[in-house]
Amino acid sequence: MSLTLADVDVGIEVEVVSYDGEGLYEFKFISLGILPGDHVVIQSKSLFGGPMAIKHGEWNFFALRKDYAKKIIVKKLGE
Amino acid sequence: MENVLLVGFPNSGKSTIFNMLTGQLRKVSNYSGVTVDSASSELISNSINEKKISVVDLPGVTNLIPTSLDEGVTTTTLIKDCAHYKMIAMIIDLDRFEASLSLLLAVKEILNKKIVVIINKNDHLLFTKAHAQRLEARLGLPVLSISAINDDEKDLDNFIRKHQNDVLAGETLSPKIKIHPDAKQFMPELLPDNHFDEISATEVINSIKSHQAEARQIINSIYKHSTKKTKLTENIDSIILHKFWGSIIFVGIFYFIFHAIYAWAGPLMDFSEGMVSALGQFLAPHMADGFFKSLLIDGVIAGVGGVVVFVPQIMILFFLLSLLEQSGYISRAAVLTDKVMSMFGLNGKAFLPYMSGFACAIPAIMAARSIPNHKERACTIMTIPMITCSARLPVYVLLIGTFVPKITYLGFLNSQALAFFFLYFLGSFFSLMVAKIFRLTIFKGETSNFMIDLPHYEKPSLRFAFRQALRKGKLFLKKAGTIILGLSILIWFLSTFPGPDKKLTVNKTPEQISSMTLEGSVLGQTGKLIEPVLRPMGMNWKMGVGLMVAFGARELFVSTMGTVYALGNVDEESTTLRERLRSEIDPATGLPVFTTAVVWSLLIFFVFALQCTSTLAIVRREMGSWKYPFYMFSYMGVLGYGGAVLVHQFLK
Ligand SMILES: Nc1nc2c(ncn2[C@@H]2O[C@H](COP(=O)(O)OP(=O)(O)OP(=O)(O)O)[C@@H](O)[C@H]2O)c(=O)[nH]1
Ligand SMILES: [Mg+2]
Repeated sequence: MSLTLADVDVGIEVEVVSYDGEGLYEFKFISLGILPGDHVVIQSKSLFGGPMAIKHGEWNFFALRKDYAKKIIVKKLGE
Repeated sequence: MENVLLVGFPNSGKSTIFNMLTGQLRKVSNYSGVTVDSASSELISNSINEKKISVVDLPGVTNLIPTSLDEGVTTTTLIKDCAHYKMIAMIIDLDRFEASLSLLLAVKEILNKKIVVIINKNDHLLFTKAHAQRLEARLGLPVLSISAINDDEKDLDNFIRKHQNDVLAGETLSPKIKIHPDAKQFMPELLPDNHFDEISATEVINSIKSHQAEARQIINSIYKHSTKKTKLTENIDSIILHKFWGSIIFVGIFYFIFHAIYAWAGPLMDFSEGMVSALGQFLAPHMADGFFKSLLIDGVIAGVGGVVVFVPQIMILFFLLSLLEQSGYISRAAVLTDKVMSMFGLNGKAFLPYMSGFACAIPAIMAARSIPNHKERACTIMTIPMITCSARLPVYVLLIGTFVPKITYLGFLNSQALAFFFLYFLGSFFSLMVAKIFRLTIFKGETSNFMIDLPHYEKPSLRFAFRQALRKGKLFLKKAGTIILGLSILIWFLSTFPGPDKKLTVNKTPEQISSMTLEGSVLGQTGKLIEPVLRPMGMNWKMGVGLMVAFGARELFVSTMGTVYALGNVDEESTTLRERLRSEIDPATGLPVFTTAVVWSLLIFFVFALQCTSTLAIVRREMGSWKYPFYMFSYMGVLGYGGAVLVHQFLK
C-alpha cells in the first residue's frame, strides 16, 4: 500500500509522487499547478472526516475532500 | 467598436479591472468562481477618444478545457467569437503567479491573437519595471503590472489603447481546440461547428503539465515571491479552520449578521418610519377630503412608505455580506460546511450559491453554474429559493418586530433576533432536506468531488462595502418608486371601488363606512372568495390579499397591508403600520386579529412559498425547460401552505 495524502498528519510536509485513478482526478490538480515533485503540507483537518486544508509550495492554499486526497500518492521527505 | 477580452485565473481581479475601466458594478468577491457569465461594456475613456473600445468580463478559468458551465463560457467566447475581438488582455494573479502564467501560455499556443499581459495584485510594487521588462522579453508580449484596488485606470487604459494599434500577422480566425470528449458538454454552442480536435485525457494532462513547467521556469528566472501575505493567511486559518473553534466562529459570524440586521436597524427604522408618518400628517390637513387625498395618504404614503422604511435593513445586510466576501472567509465557510453539505448529497461548492441566496435567488441560481455535476447543480438550483432572500426581510421584520415580545436572555440573546435567526435557519435547513430528498429520488447519484482554492485573506474595504450597500439601497428605493408605487395605486383603486351603496351609509359612523367600502371593494370581494382556503391557516381576507399580491414580489405584502389597513383605519392616532396591525380587532370576537398563531402561520408561509416571478423565469432559462419552475413552484407551495396550516393548528 502506498501512502496517500489522506493518511498524512497535520503539519507534516510531503512530496507528491503521482495521482491514482482515472485521468480526470489528475486534471484538476495539474490545472491548479500541483505537479508531481511538489511539496504539500496538511494545514488542518475538519471534524468528522470533512475536507482537509493543504498548503502547496510556499504560496497556495486549497481544501479538498478526503476521498479526493486518497487519490494523491505521496512520500515523506527524504525517503 | 473594438473588443478586448479579459481572460485569467479565477479570483485574479478581472471583474475589478472591468469595473475600473468601464465604471460598471459587476460583482467582485474574494473567492473563485464569482463571475459566471460574460458582460461587455465601453471604456469610460471612449468619451474623450476617437477610437471606441469595449471590454468583456469573463468567468475565470484554470485552463481552456472546461469542467463546468461557467468555465465553458470563457472557452466558447475565445473560440467562437474569434473574429469579433481584437485583443486578449490576460490577467495574471501575482498571488498565484505560476499557475496563472501557464494559462497564458495555453492561450498563446492555441490562438494567434494580439495578447497583452496584466500582472495584477501588485499592491506593494514588488513586481518592478525591471521584472516587467524581463517578462516581456521572455514572452514576447507587452506586460504591465498594476494593483487594481490601489491604482486608477489611467495607466491601464493607455496601455490597452496603445497596444490596440499593434499590427499582427496571420491572426487566427477560426481556431480549433484540443479537448477530451468529456469537456464537450460544457460548451454546447461550439458543438455544431466542429471546433474540436478530440484527444485523450492523458494528452490533455500532458499539455497542461508542460505549460505549468514552462511557466515555472520563466518565473524562477525572473522573480522571487515574498511570503509575508502567506504567513498571515496561515495564522488566520489555523483558527478559522480549526476543528472546534472553526465551527463556533462560523455560527457566531452568521448569528452576528442576522442579529445586526435586526438590532442595528431598529433605531434607523424608527426614524424612517417616523418620517413617513410625519409626511402623512403634514400633508393631511392641507388637502381637501376626498379620493385624491385618500389615494395619496392611504395608497401611496402608506403603501410605498411601508416598504421604504426597510432600506436600513437591506443596506446593513449587504454591507456585512460585502465585508465577509472581501475578506476571503466565504471559501473557508464552504470548507467548514462541506461535511454537512455532503450528508445532504451536495457538493461543497453548493455553499457558494446558497450563500448568495441570502441576498437574492436570481444571481444565486446563476452561480450554480460553477457546480460541475449536472444533477448536483439541478438539485442546488431547485432548492435555493428557500434560502431567505432580502425580499423576505421586510416581511419578517414587520411581523416579528410587531408581534414577538421583546425578551433578553443571558444578557445578549434577544428574543426577536432569535426568532429572526430561526426563520433563516428554517429556510436553510429545509432547502438541504429537500435537496436530500431530490438526491435520493429524481436527481439520484453519488456526491462528486470537492476541491476549492483558498485565496489569501485581504483586509476588507469599508468604503467598498458601503458603496455596495448604498447601491442596493438605491435599487430597493427604485423598486419602491416604480413597481411598488404602481401596485400600491392599483391596490388602492381595487380596495376603494366600486364603493358602498349610498343608501346604506346613512347614519353610519365614518369608521363603519370605511370598513363597508373596503369589504365591498373588488379586492375585498376577491379576498372573501378565497377565505375558505385561508381559514385553515388562520388568516383573514386582508392577509390573504396581501399573500396573493406578494406572489408578484414579496415586499408587496408589506405595501398591501399598508394600504389596506390605512383605508380601514380612520382614527388618526395610530399612524404607523405596526400600530395599525396591533390594534386590529376581530369584530366577531372582540379580540386582536393577529394572534401568535396567525403571525407564525404567516411567517412560515413566507419562509417556504415561492413568491417571486423572476425566480421562475431564471430557473427556466438556466435549466432550459418550464418543467423545473413548475415543480419548484408546486413543492414550495405545498410546503408553505401545509406548514402554515400545521403551525396555526398547533399554536391555536
Ligand atoms: N490585494 C489586491 N486584491 C485585489 C486586486 N484586484 C482585485 N483584488 C481582489 O481580488 C478579489 C477577486 O477579484 P474579482 O475581480 O472578483 O476577480 P475575478 O477575476 O473577476 O474572479 P472570478 O470572477 O471568480 O473569475 C476581490 O476580493 C478583489 O477585491 C489587487 O490589485 N490587489
Ligand atoms: Mg469576476
